[in-house]
Amino acid sequence: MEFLANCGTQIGFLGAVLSVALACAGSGRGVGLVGEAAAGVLSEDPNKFSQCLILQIIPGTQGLYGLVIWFFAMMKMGFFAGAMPNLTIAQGLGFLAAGLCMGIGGMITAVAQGRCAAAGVALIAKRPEEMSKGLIMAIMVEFYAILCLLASFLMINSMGVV
Amino acid sequence: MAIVKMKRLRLIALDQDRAALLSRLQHLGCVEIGEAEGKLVDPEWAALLRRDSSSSSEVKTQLAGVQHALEALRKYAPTKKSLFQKRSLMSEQAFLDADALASSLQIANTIGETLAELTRLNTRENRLLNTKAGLLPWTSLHYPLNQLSTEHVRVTLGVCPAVVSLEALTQALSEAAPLSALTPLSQDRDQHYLLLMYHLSESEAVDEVLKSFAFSNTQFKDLTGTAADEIQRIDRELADIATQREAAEAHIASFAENRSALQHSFDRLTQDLSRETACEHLLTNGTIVFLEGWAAATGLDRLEQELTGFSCAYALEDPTLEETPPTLLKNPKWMSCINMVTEMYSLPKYHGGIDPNPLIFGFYIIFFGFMFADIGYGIILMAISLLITNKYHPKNTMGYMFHLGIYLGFSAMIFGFVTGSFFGDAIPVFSSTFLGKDIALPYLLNPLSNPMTVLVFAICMGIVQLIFGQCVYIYMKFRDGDPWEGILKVVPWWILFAGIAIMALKGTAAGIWVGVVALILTQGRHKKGILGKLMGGVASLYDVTAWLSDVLSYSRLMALMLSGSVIASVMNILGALPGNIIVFMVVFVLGHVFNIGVNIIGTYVHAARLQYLEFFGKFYEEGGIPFRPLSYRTKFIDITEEET
Repeated sequence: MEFLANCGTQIGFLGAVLSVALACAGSGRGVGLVGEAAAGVLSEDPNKFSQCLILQIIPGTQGLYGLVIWFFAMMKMGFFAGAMPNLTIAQGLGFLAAGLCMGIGGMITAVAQGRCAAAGVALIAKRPEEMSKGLIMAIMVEFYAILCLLASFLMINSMGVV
Repeated sequence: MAIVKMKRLRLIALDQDRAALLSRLQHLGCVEIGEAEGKLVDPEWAALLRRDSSSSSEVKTQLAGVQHALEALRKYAPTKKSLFQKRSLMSEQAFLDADALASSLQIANTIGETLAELTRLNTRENRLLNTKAGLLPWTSLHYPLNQLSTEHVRVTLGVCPAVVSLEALTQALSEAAPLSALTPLSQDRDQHYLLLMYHLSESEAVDEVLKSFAFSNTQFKDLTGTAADEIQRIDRELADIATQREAAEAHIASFAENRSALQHSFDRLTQDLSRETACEHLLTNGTIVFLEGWAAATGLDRLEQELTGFSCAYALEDPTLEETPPTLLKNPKWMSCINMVTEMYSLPKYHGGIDPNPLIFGFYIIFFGFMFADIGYGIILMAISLLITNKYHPKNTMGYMFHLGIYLGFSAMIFGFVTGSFFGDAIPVFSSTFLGKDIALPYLLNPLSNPMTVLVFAICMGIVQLIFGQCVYIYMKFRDGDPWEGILKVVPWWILFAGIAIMALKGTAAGIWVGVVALILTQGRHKKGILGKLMGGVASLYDVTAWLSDVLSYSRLMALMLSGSVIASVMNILGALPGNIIVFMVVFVLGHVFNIGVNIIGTYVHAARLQYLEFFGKFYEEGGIPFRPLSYRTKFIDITEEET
């Protein structure tokens, strides 16, 4: 019972970890999807490497956003100050909620963006001059990851240094 | 500042003037030659005229030759690759010089022959390598490969699958044909390589056994020496081929200095090809040619002046409403870069459309700057754009892009002063970490501490743009002689908005009800019957949600502004955390390059999207066909303007 009453810090950490872990898992999957499609195109025409690479890194940003939120949450919790932070359960749940926002949003948008960018790779295979349009289609998805990043960030920002 | 007026051009000229006429039209670059084939459906036309022929296939062959030569040079004499082609300048006369073309074609021809030689060498090499691979298992045999048998003894070489047991084979042979001997020479994963000798009198018995063991003969018809000799000979030939290939490659590389001449002829032939292709659209009867197309009003004077030099008859007519002339937008040079944004969406229709460039120019730049707001980022964007524009003079979309980049960078810089961000919060973070002082840039509005105010600003800008879009709609309806349509469609909404504003300020809902009634009375005006009109009006109230989503869409202005500064400040904090200035510099550079990269694409797209979906939705008639005149379109060379 005593542990349950004092696990606020751990719940906060869980939020931070879920933010980076879920977003990175999604980004990994998304980048992988594009990579598979790109390798197929490159087997026909290796000159399209740089174009494919640009499309491949696009779904990678969600993982980075997850890391940003992780970092920011850990900083707000006072983790980098040296001592182990001591949060109440309510505070911990706040960080958990904020972390989940980025984590879930990042994971799902990254996979969706990966699919979209993989289709963009197919576009490059046929009409390399239309790459910018494929890029734009994929970037449209990015906006929703940015909204998640923003929501998470504003929540953590308003929590005040513990 | 408008859609250029088009005239339908119909022209009849002498067949002998055809080439000269097309050259002059290409020089003018203001006539799009259309498909006149439709005319041939009419039997009266078809009786008189037929499709013109052209020598486009010949030009295509030459062009392909030059292209191959350029590719070969890229492969065998590579130059430092730069992202942007620096174009060389050339007068039109020099560009069209026949001698230069002939000598380039000569060079392209030589390179083409050498390339063919390389292909031949490769084929031969492959054949030799195959033969060599076939010989390798037999190297332990020290007899000439094609004269093994004697008068009474048959000596054969052969293989059988690796799964066959050699012992069983030997056993079976010695039982069926005692006068035989089997010597295994070598073996690999798939096969045994065997030497078999037997007396001719036993050949039938031997054949019987061999069949059951899946033995197959191997023959070397053209090889006279031993396997080892033959391999040596092949190796010599391969070495010879390698030297020949090097020589051929060096020969191609020696033409490196002719690269620009080849590029010139590439551009030249591309122009010839577009002329020949235009020729295929002409109709002829052998003495005259008939040409139909669109002439841009901006070039009419020069066109008519040019045509006086030919014996020809022509008519220029305004397009009827049934025709769909191509769309060409004419804007001052400083504004034409916004074409890039318009072209990515769709050009306006010729009839009833409006040139969107002046309308979105300001909005686009302001929205971009608002989202990208940072002094440092803005300066970088502006500097790179200025540098590339001045150094490489890129053309078309690339040129528009970097020209626009100058404005966008400037706008981002101005908004950066408003929000007081220079690479995010780099100055406060750096000074407090490394200098021990708190220095901060002055600001009017800090997005991180005051996001609600930013959101209100963003929404207000959106409302301004949407209302402006409606005003444009009213203008278009007035212009097209249907003013009531414009007023009835738009003004009731304004009454509703005014009512909402009064409600928000004073708390009285009366204005809203007036607006609702106005909408119900007007928005069903195209429906039939009183009931239909009323139902249409009531249904239009549902559009309130569309308006709501349009307005809320502008919250992305705030979202992207904030996310840019959030990532920037996280990069700064991350860099400053170890307290080491070198680490800070590395993280700073990498982090901000990443942030600029992600943000610039996102901001570009979202600023454009607000124009396409929200703004254009209020008035735009898209679907124009781009104007593609017969003109010089070059890749490597800029033709300098001069009158001849």
